Amino acid sequence: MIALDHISLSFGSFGIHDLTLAIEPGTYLFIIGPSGAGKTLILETIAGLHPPDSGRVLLRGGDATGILPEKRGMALVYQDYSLFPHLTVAENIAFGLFHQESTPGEHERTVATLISQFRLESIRERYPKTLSGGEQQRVAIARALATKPEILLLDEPFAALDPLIRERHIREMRRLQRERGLTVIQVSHSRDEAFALADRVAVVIDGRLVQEGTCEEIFFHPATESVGRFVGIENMLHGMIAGLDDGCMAVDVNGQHIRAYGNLPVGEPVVLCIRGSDVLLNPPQNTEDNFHTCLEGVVADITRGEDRLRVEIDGSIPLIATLPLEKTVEGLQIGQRIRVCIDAAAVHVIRRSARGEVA
Amino acid sequence: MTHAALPDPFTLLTWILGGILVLFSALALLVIAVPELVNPANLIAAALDTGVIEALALTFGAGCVAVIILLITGTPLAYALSRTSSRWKGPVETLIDLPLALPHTVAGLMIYLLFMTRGIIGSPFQQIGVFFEDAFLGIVMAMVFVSSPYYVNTVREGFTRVPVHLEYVARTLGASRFEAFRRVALPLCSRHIWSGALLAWGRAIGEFAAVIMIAYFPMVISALIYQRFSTGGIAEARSIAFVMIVICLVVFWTLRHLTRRSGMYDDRA
Repeated sequence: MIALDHISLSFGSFGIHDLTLAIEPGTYLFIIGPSGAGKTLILETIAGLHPPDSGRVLLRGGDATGILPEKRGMALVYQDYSLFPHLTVAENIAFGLFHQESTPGEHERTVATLISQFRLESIRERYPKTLSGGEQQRVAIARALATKPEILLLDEPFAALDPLIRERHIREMRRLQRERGLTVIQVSHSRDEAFALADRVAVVIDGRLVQEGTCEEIFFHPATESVGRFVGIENMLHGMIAGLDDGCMAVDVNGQHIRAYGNLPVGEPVVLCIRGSDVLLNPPQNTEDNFHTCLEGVVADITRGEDRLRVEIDGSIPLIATLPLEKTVEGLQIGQRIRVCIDAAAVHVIRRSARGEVA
Repeated sequence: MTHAALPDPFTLLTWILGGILVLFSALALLVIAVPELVNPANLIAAALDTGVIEALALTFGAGCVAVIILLITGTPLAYALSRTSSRWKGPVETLIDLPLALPHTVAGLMIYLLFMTRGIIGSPFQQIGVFFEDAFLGIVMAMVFVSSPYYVNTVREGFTRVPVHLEYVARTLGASRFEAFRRVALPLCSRHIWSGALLAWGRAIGEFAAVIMIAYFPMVISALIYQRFSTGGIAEARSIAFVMIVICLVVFWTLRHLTRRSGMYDDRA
């Protein structure tokens, strides 16, 4: 197990503040957060490259805070892959073997195995500068695995790849992690990558751990408003509990009531998180019941995205709805009056005082 | 089909203005080279003169020792400066740059006061029989002082260009700090090390004022040329100067050629 125990550290303009996080062996953990949140610094601190100002790094049950990076059994892969430009592909992969107590014969076999596993035969004598992004990434991962680390630290390893290659690399990474039983800690921006790979997700904002949980918890049940905004929930509405009504709470937002499940005292200030895909446009009449909230509005803007349509609706509560491109609503146009409904089950409620606990 | 059109006016202007400088250097070379080549008797006499040969050997030898001292002390300093954000960085860099701004007679005076027989470094060394005044080591120390900024600044620039992430990766792959330096930073900086060493060596062998203040004798080549100029006149000084020019051109061209590919890792070329 790896754990960070109340780690604080400042480094240039970045900082980590009182960060506590435990990672079980064989877990694929994602660290997500806005740029400049200190994510890379966390990886480097786990690797032992920066001594923390306070707190401890625990490794295999013992205090590892003072252990040098070269003794930690971890490998780090940066976003730019950081291949050694003066060494060929094969020499890059063999770099760490130089420091291991094994024979040159074993080194050669390890390099040969990795070269074939990562399909690098045709480029084994090339220098990194002329390799494509995908090739560089494969070399970087192969180099990291050569020393048989138990823990792999990945800093945005897929960010620089084009979409087609990226998907393939993500699948390969998942397989690799399962086959080798690796513990992987990956810094990322991408929700897709998190859903494809992560067992656990930790959200770090301004150097603080704001929430840690499964993908579903983080992306659908954010614990704080900042997490909700970071994971891209389209509608974040400030309101106040106005009353309980047939097992539903009525939440007052701009004088309108929105129904949500939960059990909070009347008068509690809350933030409602509603995904754009849960805002239904012109639904059938039978959704008019106690478990739905229906509102009237005017279509203010329609933006076509890569895979969905984003519809802004002006009304007493401004809302954003998203719908798949193929499910466009008949005759939808700007200026049109429209009825929108939201299922109470789709409304996630965060107490505004929340610092990491869910209502 | 070829387009052998005139270059655009701006390109032309850069060449014309730059050409003035090139012309100036070329003329300076010619005023020495032409008379020497027209009448090579003096030149041959100068090239075979034991005094000249000794002065050349002394100058190049002392220059090489100065560069070795810079490689051993300047390389770690350059690395440390490139990797620190300490508040001492600025003051240290200013101190290193000092010889660039000082008149070389001032540099010479500093060296003299430090290394003279009664100087704070010269005196204890004298006790163990090591002398700097009018000695080879004095020449070396003067050369080290005046050429150190050229070496340290060039190499520091080289280390700054080596991403610290590469060393971090090396560490996680099992390399100690020293191994990460030796196997990653140092080879990637080799081009700047060569270049800095060559610059420093060039600066060292050309030094006159700082050297003669601690050691007028034995004579380095610049001192010899000045002495022959004062006593024997233009012709004698010019012949020695031309010998020096030829040797320097050959050495610089050869080293630049040999190190042309060093530190370039790109298999496109």
